[in-house]
This record gives sequence, C-alpha cells and structure tokens, in this order.
Amino acid sequence: MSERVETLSDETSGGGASRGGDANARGALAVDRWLPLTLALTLVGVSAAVGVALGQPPRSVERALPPPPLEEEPFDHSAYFAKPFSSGPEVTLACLGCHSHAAGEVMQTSHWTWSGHGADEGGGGYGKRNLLNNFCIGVQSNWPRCTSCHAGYGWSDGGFFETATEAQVDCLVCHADPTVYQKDPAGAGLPAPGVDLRAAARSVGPVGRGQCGTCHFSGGGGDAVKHGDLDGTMLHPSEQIDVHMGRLDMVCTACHHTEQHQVSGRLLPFGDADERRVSCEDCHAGAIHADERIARHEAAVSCQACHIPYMALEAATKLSWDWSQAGQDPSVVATHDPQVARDPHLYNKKKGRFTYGQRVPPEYRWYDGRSTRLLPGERIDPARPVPISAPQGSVSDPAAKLYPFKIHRGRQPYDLEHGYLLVPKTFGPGGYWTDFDWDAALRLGAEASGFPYSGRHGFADTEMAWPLNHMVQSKERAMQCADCHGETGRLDWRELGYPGDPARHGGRAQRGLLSPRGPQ
Amino acid sequence: MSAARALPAWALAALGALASGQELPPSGHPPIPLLDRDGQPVQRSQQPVSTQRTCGGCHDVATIAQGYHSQLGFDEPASDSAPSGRAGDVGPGLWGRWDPRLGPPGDARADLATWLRLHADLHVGGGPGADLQLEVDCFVCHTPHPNLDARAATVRAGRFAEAPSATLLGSGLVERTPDGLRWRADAFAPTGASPALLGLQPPGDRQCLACHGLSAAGEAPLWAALPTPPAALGDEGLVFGAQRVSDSALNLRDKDALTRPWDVHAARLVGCADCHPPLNAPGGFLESEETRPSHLAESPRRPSVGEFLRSPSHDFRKGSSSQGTVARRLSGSQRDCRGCHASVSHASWLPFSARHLEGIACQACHIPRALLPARRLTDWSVPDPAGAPRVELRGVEGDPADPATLIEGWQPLLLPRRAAPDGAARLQPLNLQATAYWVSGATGRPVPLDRLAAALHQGHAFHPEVVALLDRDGDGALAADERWLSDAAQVAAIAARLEAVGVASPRLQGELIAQELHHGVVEGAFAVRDCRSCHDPGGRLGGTWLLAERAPFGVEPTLLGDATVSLPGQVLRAEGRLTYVGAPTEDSHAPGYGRSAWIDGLGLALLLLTLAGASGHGLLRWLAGRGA
Repeated sequence: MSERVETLSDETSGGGASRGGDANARGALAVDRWLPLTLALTLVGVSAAVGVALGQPPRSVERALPPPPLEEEPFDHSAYFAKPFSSGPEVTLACLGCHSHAAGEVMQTSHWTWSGHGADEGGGGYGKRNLLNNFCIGVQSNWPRCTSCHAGYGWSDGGFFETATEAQVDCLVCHADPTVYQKDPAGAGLPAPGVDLRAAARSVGPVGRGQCGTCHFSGGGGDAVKHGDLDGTMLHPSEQIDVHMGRLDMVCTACHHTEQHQVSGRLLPFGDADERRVSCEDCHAGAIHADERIARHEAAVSCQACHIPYMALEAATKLSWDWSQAGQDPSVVATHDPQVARDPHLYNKKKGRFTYGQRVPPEYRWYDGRSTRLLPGERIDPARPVPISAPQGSVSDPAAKLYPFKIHRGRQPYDLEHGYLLVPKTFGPGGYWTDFDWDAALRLGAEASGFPYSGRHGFADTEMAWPLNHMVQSKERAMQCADCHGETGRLDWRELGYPGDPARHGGRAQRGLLSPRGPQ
Repeated sequence: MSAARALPAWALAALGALASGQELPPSGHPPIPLLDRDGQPVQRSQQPVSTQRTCGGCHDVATIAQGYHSQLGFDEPASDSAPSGRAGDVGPGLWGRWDPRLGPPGDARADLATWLRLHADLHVGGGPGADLQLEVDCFVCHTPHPNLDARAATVRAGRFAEAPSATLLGSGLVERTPDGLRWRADAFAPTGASPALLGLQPPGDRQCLACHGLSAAGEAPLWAALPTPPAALGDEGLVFGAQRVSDSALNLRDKDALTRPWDVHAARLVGCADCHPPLNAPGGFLESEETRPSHLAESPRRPSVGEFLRSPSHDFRKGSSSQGTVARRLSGSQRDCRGCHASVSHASWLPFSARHLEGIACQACHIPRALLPARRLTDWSVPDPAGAPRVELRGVEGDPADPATLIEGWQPLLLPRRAAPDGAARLQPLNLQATAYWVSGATGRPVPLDRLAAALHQGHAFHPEVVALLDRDGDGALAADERWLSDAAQVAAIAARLEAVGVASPRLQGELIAQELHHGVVEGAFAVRDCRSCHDPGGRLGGTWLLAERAPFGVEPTLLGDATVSLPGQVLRAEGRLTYVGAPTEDSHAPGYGRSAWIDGLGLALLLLTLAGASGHGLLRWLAGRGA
C-alpha cells in the first residue's frame, strides 16, 4: 500500500528524483493538498454536469467579421482657416497648401472627369459627360444645371476640361459639413450664394454619408429620383432601411474603399468588368449560409437579390418619365386627367408625365458584372424599348447571377432620320424649359453634342437599368422561398431562361442550361 | 390500344386547344363547355351549371362526390352509440355530431335539407346533398376566386341546384340579375367557357384555407377582422402562409420581433396538397390496409397519370389529430414529421435527444405559440336571440373585432396523446376547449336550440324575466358577459323555464375538446429551446391553463369518449373560473418539473457515497503517509 502511495506521490509530483522518507513526507503533504482539490473538482464536475443536463441552449455562433469602419473622428481644421474666403478656388488653394497632391488625384477620378468607360474617338472616354440617360437625358448643352453635382467649380460649357486647373477642384463638396456648404443648384458647380466659405472650410473632415448623399441621394434633380436604393432616408437610417448603415452605423467609404481619392465601385460598368467592384464578399466570405438549400442559391443568385427585397422603402422613386407629354398647360391636362394635373409628381409642364413608386419590388436580370450601354449616335430601333443600359448575362452564363434592378422606363426624343436618341437643351436661354419648343431645344442640344439633328424628331420608349446595392436587409427581413418561387413568386422564370420554376423543374445546372464553355 | 384510347378526354381536348392556337391556363386544363343538367350549354339554356354533366364528361364525379369533404361523416353512421359517447350523436363528423341548431325533441335528426342549409359554408356539396340536387361543387376548390359567400347564401336559401353557378359569380362568366343568374354569352367561345375566366386549376393553399383557416401568402399584408372567430380559425387559430408575421397588419404583441413566417413549411413551398395529397396520387399512392399485404409497408403499384385524372380520389391523406372525427380509417395516412425530416440535428445541443424525440411530438417545440385568438369556452347555457353561444377566446383581451385590441397569442398546452402511426404516447401541443350545454332526460341528450329559444327568448329579444335574472349592470339588456349562469339559483331558474317548454330534467353538462395544433410550425431558430419551459415547476407541463373565466355554475367538463389525449392533471373550479392544473405525465418523469422520491434518494445516496469514497480514500492516504 505504501508503495502505491509512494508511486502515486511520485506521479503527482512529476516523478521524484529522490526516494525514502523525504519522499513519503512529500507524498503525505501532497495528499493533504489534493483532498480538498479533489472534493472541489468533484463539486465542479457535478455542477458542470447539472448545468449541461439542464441544457442551456447554445448561443448562436456568429461568424466573426472584420469590424466595420465607422465614421472617423474628424480632425479639427478650424485653426487653419482664419481669414474669410471670397471664392471656392481660394479655399482649394488653401487646402492644397498642405494636401498638395489632393487636387491632382481628384482630377484623375470619375468624380472629376465624369468619364472612365472605354475610349471614344476623341480619347475622352464615356461617362456622364457624354452619355445619355432617360431622366434629364444629357449633360451637353445643360452644363450649368447638371454640373451642380460636379466635384469642381465652373463647368459651364464643353470647353471646361481644356482650361480647368487644380484650383477648380471642389474640396468642400466632399469634405465640408453639408449643412454648412452647398452648391448653387444651377451655378455650374459654384458655391451657393451666401455660403460662409470660411465656416465651410473649418468644418472639413472625412467623408460621411451626408457628403456622398448630397449628390447621390438627389440624382435626377430630387430626393430618390434616380436611384431606387439611395435617398435621404439613408442619411440616418434605421436598420429597417439599411442594416449596414442602420444597425452597424457604417458610412459609404466603409465599403467604397478610397485610395488617392479613387472611390471603388461603379454603378453599371460596361465593357470590361470593374476591377474595383465593391462586393458583399469583401466582408462576408466563406460559408455564409448554414442552410444547405439557401447556400446552393449562391451560385446563381446575388446577395442583393434576396437581401434587397424592395427599393425606395420610404421615399418614392421615379419609375417612368414620358417626355412626349411635356409642354401641355396643366389646365389642358386637367380636362382629361384632373388628378394628374394637380400632382407635380405625376405631371410637370417642363418635363412631362411621371410615375413614382414606394416600396417597389425590384426587377431581376442576369448580370455578370458587365453591361451594355447605348453610345452617343448609336442607331436605335424605336419599335421596341431601347435599352440605354442593360446588364449582360444569361441563364447559360456561369458567371452571371440574378441581381435586382430598378428599371427606369422613359419616352424621349430621337431623330427620325438619323435614328439615334437626341439630347435636348432644356436648361437656360433657348432651352425647352424656357420656350417649350422641341425643335429649337433639340437643335441647340445637337450643336453641343456634335450629333446633327435632321429637324424631324419622334419619341422612343427607353429602358435604363439601375442596379440595387443599398437598402440591404438583415436575414430576418430578406426574401424567402415563396417570394420568388411558387404561386405567389415574383419572378418570371421563363423570361429568365428557365423552363419553369426551378423549385419544381430544377436549377440551371441540373437542367443543363449552363454553357459548357464556362464564363465568356 | 390506340393513342386516342390511351389518352383521357381532357388530354385530347388540350391537344385540340393547342392545335387551334388557344392559350391554356397554367394548369393546362383545356377550355370546357359548361353544361346544365340536360347537357345543354348554359349560355344557351340559361340554366344552372351541372358539375355532374360538365366535369363528369372526363372525370369520375360520382366517385369524387363520395370524398370525405362531401360526406362529412354521412357515410359513417354509428351502429349504436357514437365514438364520442355523447348522447344524441349518431356518428362522427359534422353530420353525426351534436349540433344545438338541429334536432327537435323526439326526432333523431333534422331533415337533410335543414342540415345542408345550416352547413352551407362548410359542405362542398355531393355526398348526401346529391339527393337534393346539391352536386359536388368542383369550382369551390378548382377555380382561383370562388365566390363562397354567394354560394353559401344560395344554399341557405335552399336553391341547391344553383350553388355551383353562384360560386362562379365574379368570374365574368355569370352575373346576377333581378331575374336570377344570367350566363354571359360573350364570355364563351365555341369550345366552351373562356379558360382565362374559369381558370380551372389544382387546389392551392388559398382554396384549402378558405374553410380551414387564414391564408398569409403574397405581398398583401394579412388582415383578419376577428369578430366571433370563424369555425376553423376559432379552434386552432390556424394561419398558413409564407408571409412573415411581422409583415401582417394584425395588432400582435411583439410583432416586430416575429420575423418568422406564419408557417415554415409554407415558406419553403410545401403546400397543403404536398402533405395531404389524394390517396391515389401517382407520386404517393397509398393502398388501403384492407387490400395491401401485411408484408408490404407501401405498395409500389401506381395508377397512371391518366387513370388518376380520370378518377382522382377526393379522400386526402390526413393526420390522426384527436379532433379529426371523419374518415378515421384514413387517420395517420399522411406522412408525419419524420417521414420527411429523416435527419434531425438535435443531438448536437439537446441532451437526451432520443428520449425527447420519443416522448415529445415535434410540434411541441416547433409550434411554440399560437399567434391568433382561439376558442376557449363555448357556453350554450344562455344563447342569444340569434342563436349564438357565449364565447370566450384565449389569446386576446377585449373585442377582437376592434383593430386597436392587442392580440396576445397563447402558448399551447402539452398533453400526452397516443396517435398513429406507432401508437406511442407523446406530448402534443393543443388547445383544450370547454363547452357547456343543457341536456335532458335520462339519456342526457343535448337540448336543441329551438327549445332554448322557446324558454329564453321572446321574438328577437330575451324574455324580460331572463333579462331580470341576469342583467347585472341593470341597463335592461344582456351583454355577452352577462349571459353567464353564475350561481345555483340562476341555473335553477333557467332549468325551470326549460321544463316549462317541455324539456324533461334539464341540467347543465360540460365537455372538453382537445384541439391539436399541427400548423404554424417554426424552424429551429424560433422553436422552443429553453429547457425550463418544460423542466420547471411553472413550465408547460405543470402550469395552470385557463379553461374559462366564467364557466356556468356547476359545470365540470370532462373529455369526450373518443378523445385520444389524457389529462394527468386536474380540472379545478374557483368561483366561475375553470382551470386545468397540469401534472407530470403518467409514465414519464420530467426532471426539474416534479419530484420523484426514489430518484431524489438515489441521487443523494450516490452523492454521499462519492463523497465518502473520496474522503475515505484521502484519509487512508493521509494516514498511510503519517504512518510511514
């Protein structure tokens, strides 16, 4: 017995080098020490077992994501701007006193060039500066009004970029407190009259939601007009509006990473896919969905398709714009449609007939990261809706997934002889909003755009696709199976290239719909 | 066999329609002529449509009309006494069960026409109705927007032959005129009724839920005015649909947090017919036990699609719920949860998961709460002049028809129940409803409503003496909560009035109906995961369950004879309040809930032995060390 005790004491002491009486004494001491420990461990073990038996439910394990970058604490610039400023460029020069590379960087970005897609014959590339849309149609000939959202000062005609200097970069529009600094809405990007430029300069700091929203919430001339997923409710949203900005208080640049003033992400890149595309997978990588059936959707369905079930959640967005109805006196419209004539969101003499929608289900298209865009002077087929912009991809394209879009439908002027869409001059002297003369407005617009006007115009139906990436909902508010599938599903599966509802007929891989050649 | 003989007539018609370039509805059903009882197109004869002639050209309507939705127990008469044990019941189902609106004294049953009129909104036609020209109404379940209100009104008016025509009101095929129903000739093509207007289709969830509950599908938020609840909704509070509860327009407690769908199966596109298909559906044919050899769990034989479409069984697979009183031969024919959920993941977190799954129905945890009100007490002791009982609801306080009333919902009671397919007793969530009514005579037959009306009413109002007896607030009228016999004197007074109109030995009786919950299922994330919801003295096994706030004096309800649940606890009465106080189940022990002396003793003994062993062992070592 004593041997066993001795042996045990050796083991518990880590294997003794000495033996005999000292060892026995140490062994006795060890037993003295271990008895209460044994009892304590017994009690702990029993308690743990009871705890397990009572079965506290396991807490759900949330996968660790990198902490979202929140709005940075602004650096106080007030000490650097003691004197008042008389113009925007004067502020810019003061900024450049410290941030000497900033203006040069900005002038390389699409926020300055309003181009960046491909290259046109003049080497200037395509972008807002020369492409058409189906809202206000085009910048050319309407610069002072449209360029109120340009990150610069004084873009009032087609020759702006030939003479523009670094001093004309508008630092304040992105960095000043938007409640202190505003641009003149029809002043070619110049500050609004009465703005205290010194106070604006003193307020500068990192870019927040308010600065981005100044332009991006109000595209098309008003809140929520252009984007279905960006409007004033995103300034201080609840999580019911956007889970990233509402629940996590993220700012735009948390996802739109910015280096040297180049902001990542692009609305609908055409030509090559955008290398700096912002993606949900930038943060949400790996096995995202524990549910096996949902996880299988990831190969064909974008995150946005399920997590943006509706657009324009609170502020209505414009869904259609019919320019052909413009020019009628509201009293005339009232004779056949009094309700439309009364509501400026339904009819405006300058602009025509509109429709708006709030909490609108998106439309769904295949999208492989590229898009087509109607180029200036490109012939159209007016017999069918003209796709001004459209995502590329199909059911047979393995790289394409289903994405949600706002499809804005327009009816706008085109040249009956040349067969292309026309840019009307709307703003300013001679513009349509002044004289209500389509012929004169189209002639002036043609002179500015460089695409001749034959003198005969008609109106063509157009469609423009606006991808939806914001107003993201948490899983609790995301789409469910029956929102897309089954009797009440919102998707037209045949239109998307399936033989029927894939919940009943099988997915595109099962049905052999995918191109064997892989991504094109 | 020629191709023409192999294909059913509908398929040939469909091919013909396709060849003619006509667009078919999504179901693929071809256009059909609507024929009257003489076989003439209705747009010419302007006579009511006959489903027997119209649908019977291709489908075996005679067999279809024998389904249990048509019979409602008519084909299951009890030989001597009904399984319920209730005097006056002549069988199961709506046909055979006691109904206070039926049966004058001395008569076994009301006449068939009266029964059909009273069940206008629950009987689909056919079965016993066929004798009175109330044909099975195919359009109720097979058209997208049947006009059930118009149909019920037509049946109530006794115009049985017109019922299927009334169902089509609103479709554009027929309209109501001062002279009656008129078929619109312009809605008919030479091949028959416009498919776009008729829209024949397989039944969807909405069609089933038109009678069995509420549908919460599509974009429109669920809104249900909840006066006295409709029959089906009142028992279970059944809502089935993929819509999220938080998206509904109902005033529900904690609605914003209820981001789950009303039923996870609906959200996962499992519809009513997926679990309750026809018995002879080709994909899931169920041969009856009478003809299936005992060595086969399931017959591999299948009818062809053509055979099925020719003669589709309208007996559907059903569960074995305790309240299912018709077609008990089919109880358990439906797949239970384990029939689809082959792999369960409880073992990763649920201690003793096998034991839990053995003794607890899946619904016990996966239907954690019923969100809509359901019937708690149905008190026929003082029906109002319109013939309606006093009803207490659980899950809501205040007037449920008022949109401002907060709907609280309720937690189902768990009771042990033996059920198919294995006959094992499992804890099942349910609504235990109490009913109180007058019975008479030595056999205790329920007193029919017309005798109650004779005793209590005067014209369209309560008799002044009854008002004087029960008018607690003295306003000269009886509100719903005043129609409560709260003491012996009031009971005796009403009994005397009944005796005065010829009711022998009137006395009050109560019964309990266990209404099981099988829908409103939630996925695991929303299921009960708190062990203490059961393993606690105040948990679901031992808590107090309110049966009635104001039960009539002297009523001590008991379960019906055909109940498949048992009540291990006690029904207690205090003042007018009737409660069921739960108790441990008879054959199992729930740790944490109740005490079991021998388990406690064994545990204590093991603990003491362990401590003694460890202490003794340490002591011996200590002594050995000192000795050395």
